[in-house]
Amino acid sequence: MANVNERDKERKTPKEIKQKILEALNNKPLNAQEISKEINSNWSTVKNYVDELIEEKKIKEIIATDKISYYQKITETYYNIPITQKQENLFKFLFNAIIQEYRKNNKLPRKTDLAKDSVDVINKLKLNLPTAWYIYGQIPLMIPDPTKEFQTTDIPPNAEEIKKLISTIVKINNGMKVRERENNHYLEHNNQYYLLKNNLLNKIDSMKDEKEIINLLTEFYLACPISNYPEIFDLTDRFYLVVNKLEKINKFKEHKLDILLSLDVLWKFISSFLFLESLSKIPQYNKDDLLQFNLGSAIETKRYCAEENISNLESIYLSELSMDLNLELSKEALGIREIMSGWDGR
Amino acid sequence: MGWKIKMNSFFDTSVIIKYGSFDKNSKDEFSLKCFNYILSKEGKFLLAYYVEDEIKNRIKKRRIIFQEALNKIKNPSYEIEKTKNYNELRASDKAYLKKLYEKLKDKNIIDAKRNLSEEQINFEIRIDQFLKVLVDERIIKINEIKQELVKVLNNFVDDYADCKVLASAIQAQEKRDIFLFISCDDHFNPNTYKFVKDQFEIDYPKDNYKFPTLKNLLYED
Repeated sequence: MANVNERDKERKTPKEIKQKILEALNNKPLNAQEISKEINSNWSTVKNYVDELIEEKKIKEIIATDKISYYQKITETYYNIPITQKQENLFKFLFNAIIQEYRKNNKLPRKTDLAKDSVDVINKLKLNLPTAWYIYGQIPLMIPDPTKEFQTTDIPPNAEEIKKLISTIVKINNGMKVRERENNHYLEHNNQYYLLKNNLLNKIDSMKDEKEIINLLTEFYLACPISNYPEIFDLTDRFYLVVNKLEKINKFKEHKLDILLSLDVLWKFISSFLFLESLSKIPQYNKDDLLQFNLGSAIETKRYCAEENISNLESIYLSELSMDLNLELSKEALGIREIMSGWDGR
Repeated sequence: MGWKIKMNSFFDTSVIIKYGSFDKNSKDEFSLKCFNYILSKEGKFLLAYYVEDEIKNRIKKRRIIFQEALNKIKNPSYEIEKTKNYNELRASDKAYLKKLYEKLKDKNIIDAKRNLSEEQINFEIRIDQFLKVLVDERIIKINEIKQELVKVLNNFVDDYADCKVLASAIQAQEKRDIFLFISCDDHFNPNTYKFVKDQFEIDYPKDNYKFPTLKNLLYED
């Protein structure tokens, strides 16, 4: 069996070594020892090339929780989540083909169009490209920036099929508003949670019928996953309670903007978990790695923002609270009160 | 002279919980007593930080009871007995949870949640009102509770939480005129309270512990 020194003598070119390092980092960040093992080269040999790749902004050094340096490939994906070179090329081809289709009509797609068109093509043709559910629904993992050029020489064998489908999809969705496009997307995937979120944001924004909003909020609350992520449920529960309390003390309308803002940041936190959850179902990703290297700190920041906003809403409620309130219960709620009458909570 | 001295009131957790449970159409006579006592406020209302903490913990526990009942209604195959929340509840809490489930299990889930929420929100708003508007002074921080006093009280009072509440009251009483210790809990029944007080006078005469005057609404007409 060849040892490391013998393999080094095979004299790989610098370009080959760098390519191998990048390939090794395709699935997840690795530390020095792991890279060395993965590409069958002595670490001292590849060290210079790692530094060069950092200089070239192709990889970056990150410090993981256990204070060991890891090297992560820089990609044009959300949260720098790794994709293979093949996937990157296919994404570029897809984005470029969509942008070209819009250009035929002297248009540029909006970011939402580029994202949703891509996802539709990926889903319909079952392309091997990672997608995930995030704030506004399912998105391609590579960032769909319509202002960028996505040139690639790597043309997939089913290029014509892809282009044909793009043409159909763009025609169908021509002139559709962003919200409508999102809603159709949620309906198509029968994603009640996202539909409820959109509906709730719209109804709070228009603030026509408080009872209807509270009923929608109840449905949203009931759709919240309870078992996988207790943090999501706890914050949703707090949001639900404080909004109901504001409604009960007749301060709902007055604080509409604070409620909308809190719901928005809460949703950003929730959707970051949904993003993690949907990505974890793709075999090339491991949930623990994603949390450690890509999403952990982002999720924590979003949790902190949601917590801050909901706390703010709670303090608004407390500052508005007075003794002058009618707190009479409905007959149904009184039935619950009667059951709980002996409860002292010891 | 005809002046009525308005004594200050120190509250045990039980009174606040009962106060929160008041509804004018409810048949719960003790919640009515607590409600009337609090609303006909005389003197200052004193609240120990430990009691405030206990109130918040009990509110959380109540939310858990409601939530677990709802989870079971939402999904009848929900294995409630395997959940951490359920297993942390006392047997008496589990009995309330079961009763709630039985009452609501045939309802549409949205209606069940709305009914539970209305009750819970109403209960919490009343307690929030008490904490925000009616309490005049918060006293004895939790880290200021004298552990040796708690330990001594524990020789006569079984429940450790009760000992902390009573220790807070006794410590607060040191530099104040005698105030009322308001309870609605049989753990603080007049006989036990008198016994503890008498024992302190016998066992710790030099410490000059002053006990507040007990007013237990469970034992008053």
